[in-house]
Amino acid sequence: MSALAAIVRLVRWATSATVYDGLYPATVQGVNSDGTIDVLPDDPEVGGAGLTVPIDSDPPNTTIVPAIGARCLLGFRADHRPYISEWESGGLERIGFDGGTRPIARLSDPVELAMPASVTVTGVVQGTQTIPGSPPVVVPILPTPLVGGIAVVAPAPTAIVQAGNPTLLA
Amino acid sequence: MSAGLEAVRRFVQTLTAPLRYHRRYPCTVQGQAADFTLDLLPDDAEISGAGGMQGVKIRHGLPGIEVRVRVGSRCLVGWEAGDPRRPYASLWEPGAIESISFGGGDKPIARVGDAVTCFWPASVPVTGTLAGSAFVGTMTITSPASGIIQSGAAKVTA
Repeated sequence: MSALAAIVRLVRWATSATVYDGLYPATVQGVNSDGTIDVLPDDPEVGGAGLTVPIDSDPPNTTIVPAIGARCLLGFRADHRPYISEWESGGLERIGFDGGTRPIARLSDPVELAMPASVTVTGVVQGTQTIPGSPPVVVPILPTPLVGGIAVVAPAPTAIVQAGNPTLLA
Repeated sequence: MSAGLEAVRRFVQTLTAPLRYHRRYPCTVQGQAADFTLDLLPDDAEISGAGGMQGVKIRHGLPGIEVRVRVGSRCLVGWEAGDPRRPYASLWEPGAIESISFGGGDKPIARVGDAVTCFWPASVPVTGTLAGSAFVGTMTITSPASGIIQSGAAKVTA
């Protein structure tokens, strides 16, 4: 072996652990109930037939459920245990923030209104009344006290969200 | 340093040069294409080259996210598997965001205090007394009512 070849071998041996410094593209193959995912690295030398890896969230307190086929990067901690980092766009099944389980509302989403069975109405009726005929007759209505209720029956009133943060879309 | 030792040092540096692509380098966004890829100018001239880097995809801490960023935003560029042919951008400095879309959505997220418009049924039954006399009828409320969202997730704000 020449001196040059010996140096090359020495350097490659000395730097062999740097393989764990890289981040390697991988595909999600399964999502497990314990929060881990099964990933298959593109490079078979990195993960063989696949690895089961926990998802560390960024930002914190985020629960991530990726879709099968989602693309991510596989890295290794200092003790060579694998972790998942940056994701490509797409491949999302669900994201939860801070343990929350309720969907976030968006602009134009419908709102269910909780109305009382009857809404009390009081006031004074006045104005004009048009009596159908030929020709129709318009007569004044003298100020008349009104007491009553509006019965809220099906279909119930509906509502939609009118505004939102244009920077955050869902 | 002896000439021989310097030669060995340079030789080792040449052999280990690809390790630079395991690091991340700060850079500035110069543009963003419709497919969300970026034109980047790394601070390090050796990484940047003459014209910077074009068509660099973004990777995120969450799956299913698409981000529009401002020209001039600052981020880090790294390389998949340390391969100089496969750069990606991530880890942004504050103030970079133009918009974030979750799961391909395009509707703004509503927050506590945002407006809600309420629509009434076409005909609402009415009962009561008018000048002391009982009446039954229907009414049409043509003007929608308005409201605001009263509660939300205290730890998720926008």
